[in-house]
Amino acid sequence: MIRALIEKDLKLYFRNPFFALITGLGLVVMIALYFLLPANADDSLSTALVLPADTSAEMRAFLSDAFESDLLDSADALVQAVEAGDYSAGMVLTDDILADLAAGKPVDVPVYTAPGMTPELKQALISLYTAGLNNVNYVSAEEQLHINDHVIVLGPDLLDINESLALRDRMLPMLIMMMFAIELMGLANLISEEVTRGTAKALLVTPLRVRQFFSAKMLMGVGLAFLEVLILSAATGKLFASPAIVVSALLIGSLLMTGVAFFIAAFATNFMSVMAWSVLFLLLLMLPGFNVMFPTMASAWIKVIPSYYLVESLHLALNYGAGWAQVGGNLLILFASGLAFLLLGSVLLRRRFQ
Amino acid sequence: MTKATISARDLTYRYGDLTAVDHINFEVGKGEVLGFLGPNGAGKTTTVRMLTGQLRPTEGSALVLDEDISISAKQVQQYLGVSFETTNLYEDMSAVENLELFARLFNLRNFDAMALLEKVGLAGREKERVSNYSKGMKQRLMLARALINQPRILFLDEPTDGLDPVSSQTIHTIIREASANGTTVFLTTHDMVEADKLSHRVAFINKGQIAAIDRPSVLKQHYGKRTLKIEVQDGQGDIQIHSIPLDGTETAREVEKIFASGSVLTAHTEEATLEDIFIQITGRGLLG
Repeated sequence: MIRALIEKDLKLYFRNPFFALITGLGLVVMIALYFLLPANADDSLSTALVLPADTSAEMRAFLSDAFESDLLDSADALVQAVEAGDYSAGMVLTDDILADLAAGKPVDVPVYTAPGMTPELKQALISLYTAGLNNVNYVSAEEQLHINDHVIVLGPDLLDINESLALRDRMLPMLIMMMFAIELMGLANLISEEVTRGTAKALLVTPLRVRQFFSAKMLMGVGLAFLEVLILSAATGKLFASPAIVVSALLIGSLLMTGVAFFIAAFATNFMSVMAWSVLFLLLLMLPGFNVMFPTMASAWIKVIPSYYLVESLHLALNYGAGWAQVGGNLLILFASGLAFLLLGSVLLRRRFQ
Repeated sequence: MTKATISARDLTYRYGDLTAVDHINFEVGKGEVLGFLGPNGAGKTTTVRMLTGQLRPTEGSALVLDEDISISAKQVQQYLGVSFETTNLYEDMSAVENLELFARLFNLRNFDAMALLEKVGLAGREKERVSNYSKGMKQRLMLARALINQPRILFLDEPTDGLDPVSSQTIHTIIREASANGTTVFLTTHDMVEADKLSHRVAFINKGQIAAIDRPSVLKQHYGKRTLKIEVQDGQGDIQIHSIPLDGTETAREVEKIFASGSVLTAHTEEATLEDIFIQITGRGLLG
């Protein structure tokens, strides 16, 4: 019976032109998007420096070295070069600034950066300039150095790899969540239609039991979602970084998404309300994906969103080859959340049959 | 009546404070067609839902095929065929796919969908998606679906509502055949003529209670008044219609008087309809 229902559901899912299209197209687009994004993290800082015209050759050489910067002739030339992308950032040191530095006074130095610089690079730039200015201060005023000595790691410094992630790898958990989102909407719509069109009633006056009905929906939802995200992960080649963990995370993630789909289907009364409820849930479920892309935005409250444990586990496993010790706890929480959503959704859905 | 296949005993269902079905008692025999009549909100659908195991009674019980349906619903449902009032087919599947799905749920091997589709007049359109079907075709497919397991009891909820005469006739024929083959038919309908034609007995349900249950002819005899309608043209050419109760003591004299008063154009007897009787018993119309 369960097999008959799963076959029927798959048939209906792919006969819905909207979901058939976005499922197929979604998969292709996500894979394409992954490969179109930069494969390497550009965390190099190329900087330029403008000094007063009368600066001595020795001083010019010293400052260029202190700031690890190329010297340019004028402020206009620097702005143009940064805008053109020739340099990540640049700084203009005027006579006044150099005089204040020589006197050991605090200085306010304008720094020009290219648009779209990541927060991590900005942090690195500030560190570079602070160190350079402190160095100049020491040489000229013979005062104690005030160099920031804390290390700013670009991206999560996991497993001591200590290197930045390419944008596409940062995006991968988000792409997987997007794929899940499509499946979530499709499944919620499929279940909701069973209730609103009364087909569930027709099924349940046969020997089919309610638990078999729900089992079929769960297996179909989990199976379809899992297959799609598995294809996506395999196509990117990242699946093989830590296959057992990635497969487990994707499978448990599919369970969570199926649970949420049950939950949505319990409330939605038509296609539009499925979409509306889905958007509401997806906005929340997607947030942890942004957290991976912009780590400096991380807040502790993000951990109350169940998908955090999915995204985090995937991020660690896909991008850093993390082991069970690092993600085991996350996967357990994810499994518990998925099961809770599934049970709650089933109970609420069951009430709609009455 | 042969041994009862359905037996409702003080069957009651409450939605909160509202008693939708209020201690009803009745039996339906093997091969019998019971017309279950009542206005909207009278408790028909709730009764059917309890008898088919979709709802658990608040009080009382229903024995269906000798089993308490609220205890052995799944066991009993193996032998039930249910056709719902509103269309609930998989519209993005074909007729054959719809039937084959349900055949698998009944675990039927060697199921011949085409034979059933031929029976309901849908052969030739079997591979089309149901969404392209007319209302009559969908209704016939619902009936075919209800017949998949050769049910011992067939529950039909408004099976001909809004259908053309040809589709209605097909469904009537199938109901009669099923009954002749020993299938009990529980027919919920608003159509009095249909109920009168098909039902061995009819039950009137009103405000959750059975107001009357018997053979249509008995109900008519008991509650209905037969009349003689005479159309007469008087001396001025005006047409008058006289309606005389046939069971009155003065009937013969009145008829004689009318025949003498002018030229009689037509004269025919009229029998009370089930709707007349329902109004008489309950004080409200069936469509109310």
